[in-house]
Amino acid sequence: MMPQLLEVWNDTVDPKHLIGGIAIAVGTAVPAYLIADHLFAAGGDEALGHSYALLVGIVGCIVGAVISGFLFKPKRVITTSAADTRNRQEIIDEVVEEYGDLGDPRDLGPAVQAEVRALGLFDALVDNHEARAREKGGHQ
Amino acid sequence: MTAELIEPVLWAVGMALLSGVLFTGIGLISGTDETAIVAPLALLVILIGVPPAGVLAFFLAAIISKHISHAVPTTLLGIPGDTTAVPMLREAQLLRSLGIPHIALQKAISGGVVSVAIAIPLSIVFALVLTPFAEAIGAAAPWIFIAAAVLVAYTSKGKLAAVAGLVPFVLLIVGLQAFIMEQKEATFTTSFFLGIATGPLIFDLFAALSPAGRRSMQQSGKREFNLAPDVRPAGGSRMPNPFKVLTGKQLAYTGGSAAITSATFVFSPVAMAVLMGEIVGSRVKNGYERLTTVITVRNGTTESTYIAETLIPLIAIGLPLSPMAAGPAGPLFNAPPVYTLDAEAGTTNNLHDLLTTGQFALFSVIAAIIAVAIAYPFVMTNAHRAATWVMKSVSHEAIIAGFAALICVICLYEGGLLALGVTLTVGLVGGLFNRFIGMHAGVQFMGYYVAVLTVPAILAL
Repeated sequence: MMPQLLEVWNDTVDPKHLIGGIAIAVGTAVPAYLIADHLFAAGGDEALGHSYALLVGIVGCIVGAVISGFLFKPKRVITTSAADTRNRQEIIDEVVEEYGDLGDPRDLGPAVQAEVRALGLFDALVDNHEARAREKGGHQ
Repeated sequence: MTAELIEPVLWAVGMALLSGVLFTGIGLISGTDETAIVAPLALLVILIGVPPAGVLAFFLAAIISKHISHAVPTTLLGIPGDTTAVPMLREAQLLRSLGIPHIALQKAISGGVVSVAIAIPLSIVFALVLTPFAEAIGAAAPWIFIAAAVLVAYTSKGKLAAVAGLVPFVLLIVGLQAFIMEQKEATFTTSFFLGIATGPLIFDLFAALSPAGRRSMQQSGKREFNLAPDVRPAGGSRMPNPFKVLTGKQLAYTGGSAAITSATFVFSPVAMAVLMGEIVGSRVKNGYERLTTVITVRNGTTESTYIAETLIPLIAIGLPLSPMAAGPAGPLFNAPPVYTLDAEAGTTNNLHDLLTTGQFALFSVIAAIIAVAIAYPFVMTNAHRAATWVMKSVSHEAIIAGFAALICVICLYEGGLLALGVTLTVGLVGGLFNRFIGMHAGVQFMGYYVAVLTVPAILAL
């Protein structure tokens, strides 16, 4: 059976792993801080010792987080959709639908034209723009 | 360079290196909100006794490098890297659909670098302009804070609800402070800050513990993330240059909006990023050029607002009078026992008093150069590999576990179990306000200052 997954702080976790992870990190960091604070306080300068103890506690946090990182793997599925196989025009149409006409790249300054050409988008954008212009003309 | 400057410069260099590497990494993790992450770590650096030069360099390098690498999840995964990355999301997704996520990324981070170069000198100039008025501003601070709190609340998602929500929130803080005073004859600051900054996390942990809350958080399966394919042209690994990535028009618009947003330091960075993007977008006719220019300008604005909103109040006034200064940069103004802000006397002992304007300029430039030198080439050349590694290897459980432990340790350091109780109380209430009435952490930080500055002033009338 799939473990129950929850969304906590904007990402997916397994609650059992979350409790385990927090127990490990808090269980490492808090005793590390308390013991260090006790030892430094016994050793003299209290204010400075307090700060050093904090540093030890932070190291404890990092160690605890790294241990839980090794024990509990991410609950994410990564898909790498290889470059969209659909027709270029369909993709551009979709973008235009949401954003509005992408315009005629021939109107652009030379630097931007070169950039669009280097991306291999130049002809596709010209075609799309012309198709749109014809369509508009047809409707009127 | 005089001999006394060598030590602080070394601190600045060292802390900027540390923070540049650390936050370039943290920026790759999506959803790592600036307030929740940068504020506690800056606080930590202050509390362990790093000198002022190191603290300033650490903080600036943190925000500069994070606002470069936050573009990686935003453009390659379509999930905002942090709060300020949200305004770039639409352009990022459209460019991703066009099959050119790498262009979105390169434009965004190049805009960031250009913006940093403009915002640092301009923020210092604007601070100098404001300095003569610092005393008057300081004297009026209690009333400025309440006005700012109302304004920030009204412009948040909660609108009037967030304004009204200030009343119970401020009373909660006043009440807790009174109890702490009675018990310990001292006041807490850090535990309130931590509670506000990590409120949504604390709220979620409580909700996950409750069977009723759990039902609404259930996920039907692992979450799917669609990583854009790596489409960079081969052989493009030479030293990247933002002046080549951006066109002249993009450089001009980014520079212009960085200059404007360096002056408008009292407004929310997200709002300014949205606004600058809209203004620039309305002036660019061609669709392709508009998409790439808007994403450049918006990411540039995330850098300039953060830098200006930190440096101007810090140099000119010493009071956290901007949404940024009250939030992520809060510890630079107020982190007792190291930096203090005396509410009644209106006096401060923080970076404002400990560094001269010349030193601010020097350490800011050091931090900016190091942060850009670390984050920019790294993101330019390794974005795809880094994003894949983070998504596949860094579990969210480990991040939450680390933060839970950090909260416990810092609270115990400030005031034992009572401080931990304060953080849990403020975090739970703040997180609830955040999630359900749209009153974000910035409003709550302003609420905190209303409680410690304005309430005593009202009672003294």
